[in-house]
Amino acid sequence: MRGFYNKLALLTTKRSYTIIIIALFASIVPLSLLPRLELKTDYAELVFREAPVYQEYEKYTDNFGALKALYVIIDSPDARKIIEATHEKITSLRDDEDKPLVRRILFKTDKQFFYDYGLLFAEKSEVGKIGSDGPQLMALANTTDLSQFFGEMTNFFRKNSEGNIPQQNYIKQVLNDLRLSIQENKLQETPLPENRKSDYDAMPGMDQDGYFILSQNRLLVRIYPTITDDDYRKYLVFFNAVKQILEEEAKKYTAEISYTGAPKLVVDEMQDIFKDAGLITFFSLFGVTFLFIISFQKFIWPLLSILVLAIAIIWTFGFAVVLFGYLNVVSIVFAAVLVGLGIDYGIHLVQSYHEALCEEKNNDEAIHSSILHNGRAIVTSAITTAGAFFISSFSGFKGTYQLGVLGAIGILLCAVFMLLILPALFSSTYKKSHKAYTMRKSMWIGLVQRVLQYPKTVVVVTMVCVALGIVAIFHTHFDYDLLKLHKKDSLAVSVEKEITKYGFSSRFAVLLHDKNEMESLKTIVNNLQKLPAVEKIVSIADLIPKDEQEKMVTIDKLRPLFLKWTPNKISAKISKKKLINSLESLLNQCETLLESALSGIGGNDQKLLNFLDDIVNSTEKLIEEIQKQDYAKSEKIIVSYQQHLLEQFRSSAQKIQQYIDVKPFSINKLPKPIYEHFIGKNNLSAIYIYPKNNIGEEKYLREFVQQVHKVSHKVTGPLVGFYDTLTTMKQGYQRAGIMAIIAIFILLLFEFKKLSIAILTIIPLVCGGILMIGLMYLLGIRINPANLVALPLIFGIGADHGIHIAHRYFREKQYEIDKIIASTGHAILITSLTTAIGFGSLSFADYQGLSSLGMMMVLGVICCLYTSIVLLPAILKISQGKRELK
Amino acid sequence: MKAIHLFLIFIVIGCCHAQQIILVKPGGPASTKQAQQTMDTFAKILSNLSKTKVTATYFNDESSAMEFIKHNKPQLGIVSTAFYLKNHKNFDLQLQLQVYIQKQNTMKYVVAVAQNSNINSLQALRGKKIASNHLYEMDCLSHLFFRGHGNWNNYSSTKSISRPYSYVKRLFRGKMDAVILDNFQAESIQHLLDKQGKKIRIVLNSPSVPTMPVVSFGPSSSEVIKAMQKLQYDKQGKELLKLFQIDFFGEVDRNAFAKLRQAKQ
Repeated sequence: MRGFYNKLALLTTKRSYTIIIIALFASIVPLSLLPRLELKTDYAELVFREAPVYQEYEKYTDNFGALKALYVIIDSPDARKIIEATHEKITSLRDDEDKPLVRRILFKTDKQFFYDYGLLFAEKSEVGKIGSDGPQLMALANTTDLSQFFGEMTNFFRKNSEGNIPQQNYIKQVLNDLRLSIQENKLQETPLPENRKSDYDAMPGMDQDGYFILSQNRLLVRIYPTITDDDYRKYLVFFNAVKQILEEEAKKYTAEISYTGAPKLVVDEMQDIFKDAGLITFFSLFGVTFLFIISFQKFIWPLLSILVLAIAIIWTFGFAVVLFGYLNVVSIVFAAVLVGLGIDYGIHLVQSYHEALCEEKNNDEAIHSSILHNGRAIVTSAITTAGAFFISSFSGFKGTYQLGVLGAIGILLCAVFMLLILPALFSSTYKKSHKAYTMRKSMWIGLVQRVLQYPKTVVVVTMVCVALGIVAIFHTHFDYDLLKLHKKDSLAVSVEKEITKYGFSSRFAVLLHDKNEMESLKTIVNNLQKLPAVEKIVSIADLIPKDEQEKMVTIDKLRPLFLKWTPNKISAKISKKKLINSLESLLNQCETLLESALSGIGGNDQKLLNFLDDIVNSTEKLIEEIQKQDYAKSEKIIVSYQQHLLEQFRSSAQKIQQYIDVKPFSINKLPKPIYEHFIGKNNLSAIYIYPKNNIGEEKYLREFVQQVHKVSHKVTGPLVGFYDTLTTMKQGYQRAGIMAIIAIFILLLFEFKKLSIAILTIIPLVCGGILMIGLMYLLGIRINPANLVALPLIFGIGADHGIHIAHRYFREKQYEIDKIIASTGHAILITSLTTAIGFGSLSFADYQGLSSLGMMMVLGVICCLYTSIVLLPAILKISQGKRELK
Repeated sequence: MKAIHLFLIFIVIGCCHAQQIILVKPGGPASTKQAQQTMDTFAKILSNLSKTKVTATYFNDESSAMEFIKHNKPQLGIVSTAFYLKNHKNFDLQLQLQVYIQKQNTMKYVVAVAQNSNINSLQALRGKKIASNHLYEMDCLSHLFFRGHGNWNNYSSTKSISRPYSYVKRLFRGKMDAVILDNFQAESIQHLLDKQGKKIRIVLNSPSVPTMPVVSFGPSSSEVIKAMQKLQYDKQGKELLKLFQIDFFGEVDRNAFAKLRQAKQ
């Protein structure tokens, strides 16, 4: 095998120009393929879509169109004008291929529908209440002065003297307000209790003209795109087009427009990633180069290494085009993986090359020496890591499948190019150089060597930490809340949370059902409603009024009463005598009722007694107050109160008047947007299921999905798809991790042919990984879909470090640990620092997903660095000591 | 027509014959006419539960009730305890059930005075102005407080009233000296007075007496009795019991009634 590396060294030094020219020219091929590479940003692209969840989801989008809407909140007194002026333009938006961009826009509903049928959708008890209260309300609304009003009150108590007396607190309020108005000579304008004032008022979330609102002057517009996947670029075109139209119109007024919903969140997410990634790539490259220069005191060496790395990455992109044609949000990180791992091979070569130059070897000899010393370790490390990546591609998760294949190819290419092109570059660049080099000892290496004087302490302390790390593994949970990945002050996220409070969340599940099988639909809805994890179900069953016939009987009785009614004029005066007489009648009637209630056959209803007693007392006090005051003076305020009170009852009666003329209902009468929300093509009906608890918590999301799937395995929708994707992703990574460790171990066994060496070599990887999870737990960093992609890279780094140390010790029989630390350890330190700087800069990203990825990478790299240059050498020292003792 | 046909006709007539219930509460709050709607509801619920036709009528005075019994011969009655004591022999009243109020089947009569009144004993009530809505059952009330050695009519200046609360209020204005109430009324009135910062004081308590019994006038359909016991488990029945302000119709305490009958003799 040594002969092979000798020949390789000779080839790179003798044919350096040929190698460089071929490499550069051959790279034109993959470079020309690059424009064909697509990026698919839809999370659904990460999974194999044969599962019923995705099949059903496609069925939904085929029949109903896009499920996810862009939510626009127009905060302005002129919000209506803005949307009225723009909605047609928005609806007619088209993309570059002249296909419509917008499927539907919802900002207003036909209010007449609610006037015509609203009462049929009210609760039966509510309609019953209108039935029982209606005649009394009408009688009160017909009164023209306070004496008539109190006279009607007396009649009301008289009619209800047997049976339950409705305990309406507004009666007491009227008596007290009138007394206070007289007493203070100031009109008490307390509105009547809510149940009387706006019993039958507008629907929630809608203003009096049917516009959807969150609060006054905050208009809510839902715009459904024709896009049925979460593709960033399509969403960007759609979002920008809508935004431009709205903001142009909004300039004419004082208005603030905010956006949320899946299209906006996806656009924000990707823009934040691109923005952060651009800045961070610049700073990380700068940091890595700077570190390289500081470590080796050379400017050209890092540039040459990075050039070779770039060629390897371009080739891997070329393979991506040929094999897949596109990259997804997980496999896109392969470039970062190659930067992290590929540069390591270069650093090891450069470290060894530098050492040889310091030993006063000439340039070609130094290249020979570095290839001979590192060639096999690099090849072993590359085969092992590539093997691990390749094996992990069979985890059943499409995201890691692409990453596994491309990672494996890329790592092998990096190793081959570093061993072939980098020495050729060194050979051609420094052919005639005879510069003398000196080796500087790193302060950090000195520190490590000092620590390694106490190997047993190192091993014991590390093992305790590893044990604690294992405990932490069982307490670490996967974070399912994608909103947490957005930047901290994201407006779209806070708006999303706000609209969720108003019940407009896009976090729900959907079940498709045949529209004509209403009975089985009702059974399914009933079963879903019983689930503890379900908050509410919205289905076509809700749009069929319950107890329609009984409600119609009540409504039909009231209809003539209210439809014929026209409010008469409220009197502008009231005589003292009439007022006092009416109040005394009321007092007498209430006293009679109170005494009757106290003399019944059984015990006493204390609540009723208190109610009646309060009215008796209030009436007595009011009579007393009227008698006490000079009526000529107080009449004005009494008349004002009379006007205020009777107008409220007229207004309540008018509201019922609007709703009372109910028409016979059929599903076809539903407003089009509502109908289309529930009934799709092919007679399909959609049942929407909303979760009860915060589904950002894995436990609640799992409970919700498991429970709805017990009712029907066909339940789909954003929430179920999201859970399935993330669970598949999590499980895929778990499986991939286990498969990778097994693969690495088998390859190490094959390479070193000794179980004990294979175990020792894998220690930095396993212990480093465990320590990283322990530290993440301590620092409160949760594993999420964004930082999960760091795992393969950490696996690669851990395996790579272990192999280099083991190779020097076992293959090259370099038993002086301090020397290994000074050379290989130094290279590992630099590779780790370059990776830590590269990824550590991600920690400063605004996008929290990238930030957590950066933090996880820094922790992982530091842990693997520690286990490879401190723990593994300490173990080797202990075993060495034991051998020497024997 | 064969004998078997006649037999069947009798059975049908027997089944169709309505069970009549009367509710007798002298001094009660409403007239027979005013209460009829509630009584019809009561009868309807009992009919549903017993699968027997039931009619019900309410009386708040004894004489009208007696008149009705003579002419209509009802099968069941929910009657005041005093009515039972007075008439159990005349009409062969058989105890069937008893009304339970606040889970109790006994009650008391109390003599209430204003908190600051100087009346502290029965002796102190001699010649005083006393009002009560229970004086319609004077015999029983006198017996309970005087144990056969006196009568309220001769002892004090009594006034039979239908507005106990307004007469309690008069205690504080010095226009009345005492009011005889039942313990449930006293408790409720005290709650109402609490809001005004006033208090009544109980100076005398009668011995415990059973609450209103359900009696039968001779033979009665046991189905209706069972239905009355089931009311508390029926949704509509429960609402009705709430309206009557009673918990349920339960087992009758025959011993308590026997003691009362004995003492009266």
